[in-house]
Amino acid sequence: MLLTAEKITMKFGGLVAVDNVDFAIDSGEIRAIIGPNGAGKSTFFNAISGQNYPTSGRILFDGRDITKLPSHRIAKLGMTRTFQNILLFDDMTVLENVMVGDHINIKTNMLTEILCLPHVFREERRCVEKAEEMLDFVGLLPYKDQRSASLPYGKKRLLEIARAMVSGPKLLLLDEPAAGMNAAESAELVDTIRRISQRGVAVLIVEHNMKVIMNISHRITVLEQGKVIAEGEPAEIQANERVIQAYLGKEA
Amino acid sequence: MKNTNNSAKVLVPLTAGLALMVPLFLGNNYYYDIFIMAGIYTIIGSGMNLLLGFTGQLSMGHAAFYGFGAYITAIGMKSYGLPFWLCVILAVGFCFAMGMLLGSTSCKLSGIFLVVVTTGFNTVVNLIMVNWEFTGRSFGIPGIPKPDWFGSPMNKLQYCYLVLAFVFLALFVSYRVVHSKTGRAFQAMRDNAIAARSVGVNVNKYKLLVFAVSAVYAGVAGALYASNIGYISPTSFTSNVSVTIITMTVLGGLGDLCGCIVGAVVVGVLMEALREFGDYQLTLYGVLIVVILIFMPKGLMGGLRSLYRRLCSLVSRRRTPAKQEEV
Amino acid sequence: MNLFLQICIQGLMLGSMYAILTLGYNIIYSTMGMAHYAQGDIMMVGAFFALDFFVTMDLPIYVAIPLSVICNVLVMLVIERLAYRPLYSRSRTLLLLCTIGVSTVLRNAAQLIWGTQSFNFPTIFPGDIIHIGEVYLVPQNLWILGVGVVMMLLLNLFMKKTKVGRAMQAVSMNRSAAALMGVNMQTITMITYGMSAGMATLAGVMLAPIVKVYSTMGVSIGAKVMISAVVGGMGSMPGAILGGLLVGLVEALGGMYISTTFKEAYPVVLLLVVLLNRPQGILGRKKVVKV
Repeated sequence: MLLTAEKITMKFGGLVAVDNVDFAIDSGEIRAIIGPNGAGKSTFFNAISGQNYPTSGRILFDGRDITKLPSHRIAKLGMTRTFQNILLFDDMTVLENVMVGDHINIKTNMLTEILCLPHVFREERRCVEKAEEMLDFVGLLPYKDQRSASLPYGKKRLLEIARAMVSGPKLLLLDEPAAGMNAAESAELVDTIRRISQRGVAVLIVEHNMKVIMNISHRITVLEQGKVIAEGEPAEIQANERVIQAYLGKEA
Repeated sequence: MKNTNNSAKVLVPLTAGLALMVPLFLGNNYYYDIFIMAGIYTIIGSGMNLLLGFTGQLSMGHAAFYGFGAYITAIGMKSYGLPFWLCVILAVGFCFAMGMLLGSTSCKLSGIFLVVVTTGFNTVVNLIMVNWEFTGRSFGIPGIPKPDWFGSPMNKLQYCYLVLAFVFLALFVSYRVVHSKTGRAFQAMRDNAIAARSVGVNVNKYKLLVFAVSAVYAGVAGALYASNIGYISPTSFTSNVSVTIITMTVLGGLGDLCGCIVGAVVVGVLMEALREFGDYQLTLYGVLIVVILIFMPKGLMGGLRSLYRRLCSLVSRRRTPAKQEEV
Repeated sequence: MNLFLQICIQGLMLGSMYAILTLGYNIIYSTMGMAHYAQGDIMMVGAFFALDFFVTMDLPIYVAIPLSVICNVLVMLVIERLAYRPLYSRSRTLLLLCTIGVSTVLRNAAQLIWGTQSFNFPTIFPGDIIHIGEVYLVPQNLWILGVGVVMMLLLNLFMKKTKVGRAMQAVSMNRSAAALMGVNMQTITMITYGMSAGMATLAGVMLAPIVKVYSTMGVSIGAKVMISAVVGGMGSMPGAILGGLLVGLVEALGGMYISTTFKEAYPVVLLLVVLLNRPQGILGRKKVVKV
């Protein structure tokens, strides 16, 4: 197992947002987490990637305990993510945004940079090449010199994915990647996620767009009120009584 | 984009050459001093620019670091007879350490909180300068010698070139830092700290680093200042001076490497030009900050750049219809 | 012991004025979401207006004070219109820089208009020193303390009972929601700045007889106001009062028992102690960053 979360509980004051969740994901897998609003999906996501720490429980990533690690250390171990509300570096160019994503792989420090040691320039060139390759991968290469804030919404989401992918992670976390996208854009997104998976990267998605979810995920985990109520392949989940109840019950 | 890169290839050596020529034509001590002060402001301004322009942190305590550099040089050269270069190294080391210390608060604080803490820091440092026997109390330290140049003290012309050498060094270091991994990390955490962490940037480490480095810039500037002016007193290092430093940086252009040169020259020359109107000087700084922030958020340098770009597009637009006419 | 008591009263008196200033500062912070660095300088301008009307023009005090409040509120509103309003939509760092610029302008413009010397301000509340046991009380200080308490109570009443006050609270909780619910943002903005400047003027008038009136009086007092705000908890009204009183006490006690030379440093020490233990301030709420 690439990532194992054991008995994760997260409390905010009296509110239990995530309740004793066990979860595991294998390398190469595309896994979705779905559930009605307020089911604790994003909270669970933040616990895994170190934005918040769980109240109790243990998270193992690639055989290491990462429960209490800050998010930059987790990124270093090979887990990167995107954000529900798109967090880009607005005043930097598209290319620079992706280059920051490769931060952990550049073996220079401020002193060597000032002294202009030869490997600094080599690393820099390699970083630019990698970033351009990644931009090409998500189809943003023509925009590389634009300020990232000037990109249209759907392209911003793709840029976030490129930034998270460039360092070559083992696990990519996507927090509602299709939110606010039109049909054409989400079709493009599905294609991009497939190609990411083909590169051997495990993908974990939180998403509301069922078409996207049913289309790409190998397995689906359903959360309701902080608890796992079902887990299985898309077809199983679609037929699952409790899941239908959870969704319909809320709408009714 | 490529256009500006090409023009940079011409403009940088041109400006550097011009700066190297200028001291030769200055002629008297008064103009030398203006030149030297503009150089010192450039150094301290580019340090502030790294901090404020590239990482978006506001320090009102930089006059304290400026003071550390000045006092270390004054006391070292005058009381202990140390050579100038050793004093500079001491100033660099001390400011780096103090910058780390003040920077450690910035890991937890930002915005107004940081302003309050750094203002407090400057107040306390200034109080110590005013009340400590070792720093000459409120009277300060007179009779600071000039650095040696092959056995005799430097004259003003030589000192101009010494300052210029430090200016080039400071700008080069800034340039290298900004155009590499470290600089990208700085800008990333300025734009969004959470996202920066998520791709593996150790935000706290870089906050400490940038504080320490920009403190070093201020310390070196202080060392150059003390040895040039020959007399220092605590009034030169109050938080008012921090405001002047910030004014220069904003004026020149936040996050623009050339900005601090423009800012420093404008403020350095203005300061002298407005000496007769001494009282209006600081009022004008305040007005300048406000006006620049509202109308030119990228500073004078940003204004110049967009003017240049507009001119370029104007020229190219003129050319195209002309060709069409020929056809 | 009696000395201690006396110093405490002195500190509380100073502190109540810091508290009033901090309340004004916090109103702006919570309603506008901006830190108003120039608060101390606005107070200074108010004190100078009062000096002009009360001392130079020799107007009766009950005319001079309202007049200086009105003038200072107008000054504040002009500043808001010209300097702050164009920057509301930009980054908060730029806005903060702008308030620093404004503070520099005010400080130095005051120097140009009124000169660099400090002016004595006559006591507004004359009377003989009161002895209670061995504690000596200057009536002026008691008055100041009283006025401070009354103003705090009035502000509390205003925020809780009036429509405008409740609207201001709504804006501080959720700006866009309040605007959608029909709160006129422009009016609220102007009332916020106006109130803040008015309170600053009153505090300036109260402090003037004690600290004298001079163009840089806003520097050290402004710094203490910001320290009080951070110590008490940014944006918190009870926090402003607590922070102001604490800073006043620390300053008075430190000045008495340690040394007056480092009077300005004691609040900074208090600030560091609080920040290291409770970064959000004593009564402040922790800001949760949502991802």
